[in-house]
Amino acid sequence: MRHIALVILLCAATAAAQSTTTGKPAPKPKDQPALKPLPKGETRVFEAIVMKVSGVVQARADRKAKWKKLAVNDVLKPGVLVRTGRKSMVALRVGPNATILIDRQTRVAIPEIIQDGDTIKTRVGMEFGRMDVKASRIGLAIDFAVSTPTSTLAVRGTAFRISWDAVRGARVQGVPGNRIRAIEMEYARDMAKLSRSDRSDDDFALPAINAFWATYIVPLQGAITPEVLEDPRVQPTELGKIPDGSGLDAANKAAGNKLDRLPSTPPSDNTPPPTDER
Amino acid sequence: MDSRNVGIWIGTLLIVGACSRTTLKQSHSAADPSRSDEFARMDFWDAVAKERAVCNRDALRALLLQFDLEPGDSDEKAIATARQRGWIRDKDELAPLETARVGWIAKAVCIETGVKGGVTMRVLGPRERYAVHELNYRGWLANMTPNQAISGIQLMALLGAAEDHTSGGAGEILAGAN
Repeated sequence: MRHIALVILLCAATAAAQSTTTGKPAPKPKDQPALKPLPKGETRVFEAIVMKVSGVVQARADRKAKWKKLAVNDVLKPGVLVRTGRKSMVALRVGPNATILIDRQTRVAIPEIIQDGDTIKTRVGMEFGRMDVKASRIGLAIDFAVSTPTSTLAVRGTAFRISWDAVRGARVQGVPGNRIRAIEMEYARDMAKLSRSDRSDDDFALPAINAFWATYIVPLQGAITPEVLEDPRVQPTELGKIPDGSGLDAANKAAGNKLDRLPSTPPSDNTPPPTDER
Repeated sequence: MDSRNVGIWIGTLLIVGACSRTTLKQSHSAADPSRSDEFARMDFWDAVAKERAVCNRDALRALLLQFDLEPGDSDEKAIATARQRGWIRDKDELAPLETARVGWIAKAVCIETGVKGGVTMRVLGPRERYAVHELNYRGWLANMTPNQAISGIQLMALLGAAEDHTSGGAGEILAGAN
């Protein structure tokens, strides 16, 4: 009996110490209700939340507002403009289903994050720079579009990287887990549908042509030196470096020169059901 | 003076005028040292990105900021740093408001990023001509020539590619995680 009282006393002391070190007890997480389709014509506005910030990242509510420094857990309303500096990045949770990682020297606007009936509608505009996007499927239809100065990209639940600069224009790279024709890239003249880790850019919009040139003309741009490969910060990834493929080459080298480029596959009736989202 | 001579004079003036570099009305470099905070720097990058042609002062400041060098509070200090780093020759002058030439910018980028180039550039060193060729080849420049002017958005693309090169590629990859 004496031992039991001692244990209870210790537990109480530990709990008291925890509550004093953290200041106030953490609020209980509320169970978020699952998103259900709204009646036709009804809309619901979502927000974006800052998940991670590194370096100089600023945002403003609209074009007339003043720039403010962003911090983790800041809430951004639709219409926000975000800019990142050199060696900086920010990760945003946009609405209920999308995550965006905005890379260095990028200017992004998020004018719309709404649920319109049974569709989650998100619009992102990228003036220049680079960002990774993951739009997950959550049971509702997804209408996620990214606009660049030369193209518009529409996705229906997938992950990809998009970048735009004045020299190389728009470039899109999917990930191997993407479903068939998950990304639709609309250029001024062409329309391309991307599956899996297909690439598309202003020069070669069609993924098959893009893959052909990427395979036969190995660019020596952004040369990956042995020192870079040995750098522990540089990890081979599935996606690699988009602009010139050297990151992918580095990943291939590290993985024993196994090329990870797949030709685009036209959809067929025998196509197995997509299994991209785990 | 007959009409033929007048025509020759006008033609000569036009040719001389066409060969001289354009001078811009203003630059976006923060002249006020008190505005050297991160908001001022980001405003500077935003302003540069919108320029149709970048002047020497802005290009110099952009390069100094990009490569973590002190931009200084005067044009003379910035130019002295550029000379010291080998971006421009001692006898070269950079008029602050004149449009920046791609040549010296490419040379500066090659020096700071350690781009060695091909055989000629390795033998002769980072000359403007070969630096531009090298950066064109890498796709960092849009098939430019050393005497061309560079727009702000092109300069941003060039510096972005240089940053990727020195940092070993793109940063964290969210999309790769399935």
